[in-house]
Amino acid sequence: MTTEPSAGRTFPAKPVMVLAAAAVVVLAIYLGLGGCKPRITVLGEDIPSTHAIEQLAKQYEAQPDANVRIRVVKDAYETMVQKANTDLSAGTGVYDIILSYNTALSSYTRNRYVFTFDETKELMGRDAFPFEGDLFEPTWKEVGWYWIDSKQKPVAIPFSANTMLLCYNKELFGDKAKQDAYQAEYGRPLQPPTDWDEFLDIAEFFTNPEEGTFGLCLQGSSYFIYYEWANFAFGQGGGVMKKNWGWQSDENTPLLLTTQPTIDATEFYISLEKYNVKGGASDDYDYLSTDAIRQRERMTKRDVAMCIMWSDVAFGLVENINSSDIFGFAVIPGDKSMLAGGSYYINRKSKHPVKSIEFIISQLSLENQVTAMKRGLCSPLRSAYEDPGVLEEVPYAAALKESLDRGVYMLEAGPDSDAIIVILSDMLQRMWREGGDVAGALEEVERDIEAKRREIYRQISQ
Amino acid sequence: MPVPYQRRWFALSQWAVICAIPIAILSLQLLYVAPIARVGNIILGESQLLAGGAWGVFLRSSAFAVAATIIEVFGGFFTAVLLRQLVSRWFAKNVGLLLLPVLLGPVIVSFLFLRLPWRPSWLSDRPVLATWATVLAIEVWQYLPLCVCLFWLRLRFLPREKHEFARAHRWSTGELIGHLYWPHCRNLGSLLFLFVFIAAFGEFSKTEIILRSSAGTDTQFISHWLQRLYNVRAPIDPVFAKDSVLVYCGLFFVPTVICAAVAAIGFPWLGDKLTGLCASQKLRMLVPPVAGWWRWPKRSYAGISQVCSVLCGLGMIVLVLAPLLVLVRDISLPSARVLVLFVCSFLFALPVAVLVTVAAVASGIAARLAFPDRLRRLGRDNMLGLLALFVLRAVPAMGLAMCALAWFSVVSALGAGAIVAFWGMSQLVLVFPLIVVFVICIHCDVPLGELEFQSACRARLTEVALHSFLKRFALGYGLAFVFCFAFVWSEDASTRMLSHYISSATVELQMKVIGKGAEYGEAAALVLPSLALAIYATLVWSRWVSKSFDLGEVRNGEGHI
Repeated sequence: MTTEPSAGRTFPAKPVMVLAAAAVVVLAIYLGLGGCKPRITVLGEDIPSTHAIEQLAKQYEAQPDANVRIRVVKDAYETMVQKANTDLSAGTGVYDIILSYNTALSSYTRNRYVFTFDETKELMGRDAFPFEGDLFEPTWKEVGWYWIDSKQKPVAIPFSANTMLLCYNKELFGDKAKQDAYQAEYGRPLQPPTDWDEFLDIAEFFTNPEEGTFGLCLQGSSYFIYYEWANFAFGQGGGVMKKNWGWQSDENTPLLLTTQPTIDATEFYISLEKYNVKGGASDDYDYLSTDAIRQRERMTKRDVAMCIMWSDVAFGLVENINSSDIFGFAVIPGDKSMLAGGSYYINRKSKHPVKSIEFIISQLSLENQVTAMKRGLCSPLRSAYEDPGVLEEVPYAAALKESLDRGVYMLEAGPDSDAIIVILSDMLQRMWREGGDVAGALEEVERDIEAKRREIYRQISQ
Repeated sequence: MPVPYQRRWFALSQWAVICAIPIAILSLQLLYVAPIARVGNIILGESQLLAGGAWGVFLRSSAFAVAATIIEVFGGFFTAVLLRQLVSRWFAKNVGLLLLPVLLGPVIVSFLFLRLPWRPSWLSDRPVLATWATVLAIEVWQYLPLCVCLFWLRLRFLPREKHEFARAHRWSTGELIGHLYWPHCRNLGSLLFLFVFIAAFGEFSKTEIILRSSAGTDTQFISHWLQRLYNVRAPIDPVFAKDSVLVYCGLFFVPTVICAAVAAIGFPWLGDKLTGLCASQKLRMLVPPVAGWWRWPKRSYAGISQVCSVLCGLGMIVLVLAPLLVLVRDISLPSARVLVLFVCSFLFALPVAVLVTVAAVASGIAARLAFPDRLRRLGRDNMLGLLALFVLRAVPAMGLAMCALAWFSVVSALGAGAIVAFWGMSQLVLVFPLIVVFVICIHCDVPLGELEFQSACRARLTEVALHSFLKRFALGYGLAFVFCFAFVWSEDASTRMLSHYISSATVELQMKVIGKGAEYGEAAALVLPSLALAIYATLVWSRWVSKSFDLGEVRNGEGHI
C-alpha cells in the first residue's frame, strides 16, 4: 500500500515569510516613529485652553530632547471629572496629568491622589521652578493651594487664570447719536461702566425693543447663573462666605447670604430681567438655558449692549479679526473681580511623573504661554500679558490682567462647593421664574446650606 | 400512527447551546451591572445629602414615559390605519424616511431642535405643563413615525384572504380595527410599547441639550438627578459619589422593571380593550352612522379617504424632514478630521452591529423552533420572560456610565485591545435584547402548522431555517440590522467613558453641543455625515420594501415584517 505524496500540502513558506517581513517592517517603522518612547496622557475639558495646550504638546514632542509622546484627551466637563475621579480613586494611573479646577482641590489633596507642589520639586531635585515668581499670586492661591497638615500650601500648578469680564458692544457705545442722548439723559459720557449704578443706567438706556436693542445678555442655566450672580453679590459687598479663598471653608465658616449687601445684590440681579434679551419669533434666546457659549453666540447678533462673559470663552468671540472691532472688554464694575481657573494635577500613580513635570515646566515658559494666549489660553504668567504681540492680538488681555490683579475669591471650591452651587442655582432660577421675596428665599437657602455643610463635614471627619 | 405534535429539532447538546445564549446574555448583563450589587450593603443612613426629590423625579420620568408610549404607539397604529389605503409606489419607496428620527438618535435630534431659529415664548419661564408638553412633542416627533412606519408595513402585509373575508362580510371600519388590524399588529405593538417606554423613561439628551435641565426649572429626568448627585458628592469623595449613584440605581431598579412590565403587558391589554370598543355594537349605537360612513367605503368615499391618506402620508414625511432644515443655519463642510472620525466610528460600530444582528437572528430562529407554540404570540406569559433580557435597560444612563468606568478600572490594565473588547461586549448586552425581541416578534408570523408539517416531514434544521425564516424575513432582518447599527452608533452612556479608545461621532457631537467647548458649526459638520448615512440606509431599505410590492408578495401574504 502506497501513500500518495501529500500533493498541495507543502508548508506555505512564501506567504509566511512575506508576512513576517511585513511585520518586521511595520515594527521598525513603529519604533522609528518613537513607539518605545514613554507616553504621557493628559486629560482635560474640551475648551480652547486645552486645545492650546494640545498644540503646544505637539511642538514639545518634536523636540529631540523631549523623548516623550504626549496624548491629550478632551472630554465634556462632567465626563472629564468622572474619568479623572475613577482613575485617581482606583489608582490605575491611566492619566498622568489632569487639567481640572479648584473644586477638585479638596478631594484630590485629602485623598492624596496627586503630588503636591513640594513633592514635585523633590522629584525634580529643585528648590524652585522658573515660573514661580511670575505667577499671579492670588490666582495660584485660589486654584492651586489647599490645606496640607493644617497649613495652607501649594498643591497644583495653575494652567489657566480665568475671570469674568465686561464685554460691551463697541458699535452701540460708539454711536454718536447714542452718546449724545446718554450724555443728555445721565450727565456723563457713554463708556463702559465703572460702578453698578452706571451698569444699571446703561442697561436701561440701551433696552429698546422697538429699536431692537437690549441692555444685557445674561446667563441663566444651572451653574452659570451662579457664576454670573457671584459677580454681583461679591462686587456689591456681599457674598456667600466670609473667607479669603474658595477652598478655605470649614464647618465654622460664617455664611453671608442673609446679609443686607447680598440681599440687595440679589434683588439687583433679579431686577435686570427687564433689560435682558427677550426671545421671540426670530430669536432662539432662552435665558434659562443660556450658558457661556449661548451667551457668546447671542452677542454676535450685535444688538446687545453688554454682558458679563467668561474670559476663556471670549477667545471664540474675537477669533476672527472683525469681531475685535465690534466688541470691547473691561473689568466688571466695582473694585473686585472673580478669580477662577484650572491647575495641572499630577497623578500620584503616574508611570512617568518626572516626564510629566518636565512637560508642565516647558508649558509654563514665557514663549509657550505667549503662543498659547494667542490661541485662547488665559495665562497664569504675569509676564505673558506684557508681550506686545499678546496685547495686539488678544483684545481682552488688558482687561484680563487688570481683573487678575484685583481678583478675589467669589466661587466656592471646598468639599461643600457643588452642594452650595446647586442650591443657589436652583434658588436663583426659581426667583427668576416665579418671583417672590428675595430675603426670605435667601434665608431658606442659608438654612439648607448650613444643614448640608454640617453633614458634609461630618462625612469628611468619619 | 399519529404524527408527533412537535419534533425536536435539537439534540441535547444543541439544547444546551440554545439555552446558553439567553443565559450568557443575561449573565453578561448582570456582570456589567455587578458594581451596583457590590454596593448593595451600603446603608445610606441619615446622610441624605441632596437626596431629596429622588422619588419625585422617578414619578416624573414614569409619567412622561407612560404619556409618550400611549401617544406614540396608539397614535402610530391609528395613523397607520388611516394610511393603510396609501399604496402609492412613491410612498413605499420613501417610507423608510419615517425611520429617520429614531435612527439619528437622541443627541442629533436634540441638536436639531436646539438650533431651531426661534424659541416658543411659553418656555421662557418654564411653566411645568407647557414645558413637559413641549418635550413630549419632541419625543413624539422622534418615535411616532417609527410606529407609523412599522404598523403601516405590518398592515400592508395583511393576508389577502382575511381582507377578502372582511370585505365580503361588509365589516365596518371599527370592526376592521378591532377584529382584524389590531390582532394582526398586536405582537408588534407589544414590542413597540416596551421599546418606546424604555426610550422615554431613560430620556436624557432632550432636556439636557435643549433646556439645560435643572431642579430649579423642574426639568430633570432620573439621569439628570443622578448626575447632580454625583457632582455634589464628588468634592467630598469620588468613591462616595460613585457608590451613591450606584446605590440609587439599585433602589430604582425594581420600580423601573415593574413599570416596564406594565408597559409591555398592560398596554397591549389596553389596546385590546380600545380596539374592542371600536368594534363594539355599543359604539355604533352611541354614534349613529352618517350616511354610509360606517359601511365599506363606496366609490366616492374611497376617493376622499385616498386623498386624506395621501395628504397624511406626505405630511408625515414633511414633518420628519422639516427640522433637518435647521442644519442650513450652521452648515459647513466636514473637515478631514471629522471625516476620519466618522469613518473610524463607522468601523467600530459596523462589526458590532453585524455580530449582534447575526446573534439575534440565530437566537430568534432557535427560540421559535424550540418553543413553536409558546412564541406564536407575544403575550403575558412570554413577555415576562423576554423582559429578563432587558435588565440593563432598567439602569439609568448615569448608572451605566458608572458601571462602565468601574469595569474600565479593571480592564485598563490589560491594554487597549481589552478595552475595545469590553466596549464591544457592552454594546452587545445593551443592544441584543432589543434586536432579539424584534426578531422573535417577526418570527411569530411563521404558522405553527408549517412548523408541524416540516416536523412531520423530518425536514433538516438548515432547510427549515432557510425556507421558513431567512428567505421569508429578509426584509425584517435588514431592518433589524439598520436599527442595531443606529443604536450602537448613538449609544453614549458607556461609550463616552471609553472615548479615547473608541471613536464615536455621537460622543464628539455631544462635546460640541454642551459645555464651554461647544461649537455649533463643528457640531453641524458632525451631523451631516451621520444624516447622510441614515438617509442612505433608509432609502435603500425602502427600495427593498417597494420591490416587495412589485413582486406581488403582498398578495401572497409573504415578505413579512
